[in-house]
Parts: sequence; C-alpha cells; structure tokens
Amino acid sequence: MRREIFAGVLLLLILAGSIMNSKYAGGQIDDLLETLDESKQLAEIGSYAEAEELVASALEHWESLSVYTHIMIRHSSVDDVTNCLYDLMSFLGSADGGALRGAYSKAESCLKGIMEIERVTLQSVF
Amino acid sequence: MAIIFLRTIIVLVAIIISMRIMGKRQLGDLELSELVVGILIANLASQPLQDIGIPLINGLVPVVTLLCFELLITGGIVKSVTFRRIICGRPSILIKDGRVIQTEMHKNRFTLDELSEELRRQGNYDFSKIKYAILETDGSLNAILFPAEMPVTASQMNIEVEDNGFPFIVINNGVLLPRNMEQAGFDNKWLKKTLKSNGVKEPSEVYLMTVNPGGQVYFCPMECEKR
Repeated sequence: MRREIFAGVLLLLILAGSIMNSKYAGGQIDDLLETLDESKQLAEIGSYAEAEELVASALEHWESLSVYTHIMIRHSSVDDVTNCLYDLMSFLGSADGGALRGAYSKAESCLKGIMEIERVTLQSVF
Repeated sequence: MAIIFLRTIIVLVAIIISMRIMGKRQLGDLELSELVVGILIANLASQPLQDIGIPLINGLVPVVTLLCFELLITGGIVKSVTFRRIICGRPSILIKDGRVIQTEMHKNRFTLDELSEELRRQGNYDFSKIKYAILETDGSLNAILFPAEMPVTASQMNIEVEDNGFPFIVINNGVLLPRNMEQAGFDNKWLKKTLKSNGVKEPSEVYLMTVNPGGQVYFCPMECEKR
C-alpha cells in the first residue's frame, strides 16, 4: 500500500508542478509580449531608439531566464526566440521600418509558440 | 560529448531506481502492462540521449510518470481480481484431460507448432502424456502430466528422506557472510573449526563454502589469489 500511496502522491506532485510551470512560463512570456507590444507602438511612431531599448530589456529578461528555459524548453526553441530578438534589435538599430513589422511578428510568434507548447490544449496534446 | 555522457549516467541511474522500485516482477516473466512500461521507458529515456537539444527533464518526467502508473496498476492487480482480469486477462487451457482444445487455440492464435515447441522446451515430447497445458497471462506455457506419467516421489515409495534444510552461502569468493552463517544456525567458533578441518586458516582462502542447518558443508578452496 505504501508504494501505491507514494506513486499517487508523486503523480499529483508532477501534475501540480506541470500546472505551476505552465503558469510561470505563461506569465514570463506575457511580460515579454507586453514589452514587445510597447516597443512596436514606439517603432510605429518612429521612436526607434526607445523601441530598441525596450527590445534590449526584453532580451535581457529572456536571457536572465536561461537556466529555466534550457532545463524546461527545447533548446532550438530557446535559440529561435533569442535570434528573433537580436534580429529585431538590428532592424531597429538600422531604422529599417519596412522589415520591422515582419520582425515583430516573428518574435511574437516564437514566444507564443513556446507558450502553446506549455499550455494544455487539444492542439498541443495531439 | 560530455553532456551526452552525463545525461546517460543520470538516465541510467533514474531507470535503475525506477526498476528497483517496481520490484522483481519487472525482471521476470512480464505481464502486459509491465512489458509496455518497460518498452516505453527504454524509448522515452533514450530521447534526450540522442539529441542534447531536448531537455533532460523530457526524458525523466515520462520515466517517473510511467513508474507511478506501473506501481498503481500492479497495486490494483494485487488487490482486485476483476482489475487483474481486465489488465492481464485469464489463463487459457489449451489441453484439457489430454485433448487439445481447438477453440482456445484459435482464440489465442496459437499454432500447434508453437504448442509443440513450448512443450518440448519443458521436456514433454508426447501429447498423450499431458493432462493440462495452460497458457498463462504472461505468455508462458505450463504443462501438467497425467498422474501416471509423473515422476515417482519419495513419499509415494514410502521412503524416508532426510531434510537438511536450505544451504546458505557462508563464504563467497573469500568474503565471509556472517548473516547467512547465523541464519544457518552456526557461529564463528564453528567456522574456525570447519576451516581448520579443511586445511585453511582464513575465509579469504575459500572460494565457496555453503552449509545447511543439518550441518552439511560444501567447500571449495581458492585456486589462486582472490579476484
């Protein structure tokens, strides 16, 4: 009986851990998306320098999570997000307005992709 | 490469601990759920070893989850006959009173060649001598002979046989096992006397020594230096 109780408790802990992880990952990505959104609005009115600063702070935030992201998330996905943010910064730095919309969408898509993987939905399960 | 090396060690330790917790059942003839879990654990645990871009936790969480479900399933199997029947099925009688039950053979998709092979493996060559052949839930086949075909026992011959009990290994490759010696009912004083009578002084000079509660000793000295 002891083993069964141990197994049941462990399963519940794994479930609780997965839910907490999903919420935490969702929260962090929501913060990053919010920052990117603010940056996008600044870029749209031509304030590229401020927009670039916000992207830099988003990148710093993302890199500060590197221990967590590399333990919990596929490394290729982590690298994709990092690369998207660097690309975005380089477009902002060169004030290349034409490519910016695409770059922002790509960065948002990478971040949302990670959030979708961690969220339990029909799409992510199947 | 260092990462793969470290991950391999971690996954290996995790699997050994999981299998140890699952117990001896997992090592012997496997029931269906045990076979499935064994295969899954092997495949899932190897994923992060093949691709270091996959987080190690993606291999460890499935292993632990499977371990927990296996413990719950085996617990349920032990406690409930109905649950056991659902998970493991029922044994099938393929030969009854010496007659091959063809419906059971068809139901289990068991051929006569397979039946003959399994019976031969157990030393049974003649169908006419087999009273029952039972296909167990783990896939093994057990045969029971007609009483007239079974080997005679000492009790049937009214012969008294000495029962000296179970032989315990007391010295294993030069190492004394004091717990086994106590279980057999002997002590260090007996050990010294026995070693002396066999021409050695220390347990390290003995390769194998067993004793049963009746006092019968099997002695094999070390031929060369302890390996």
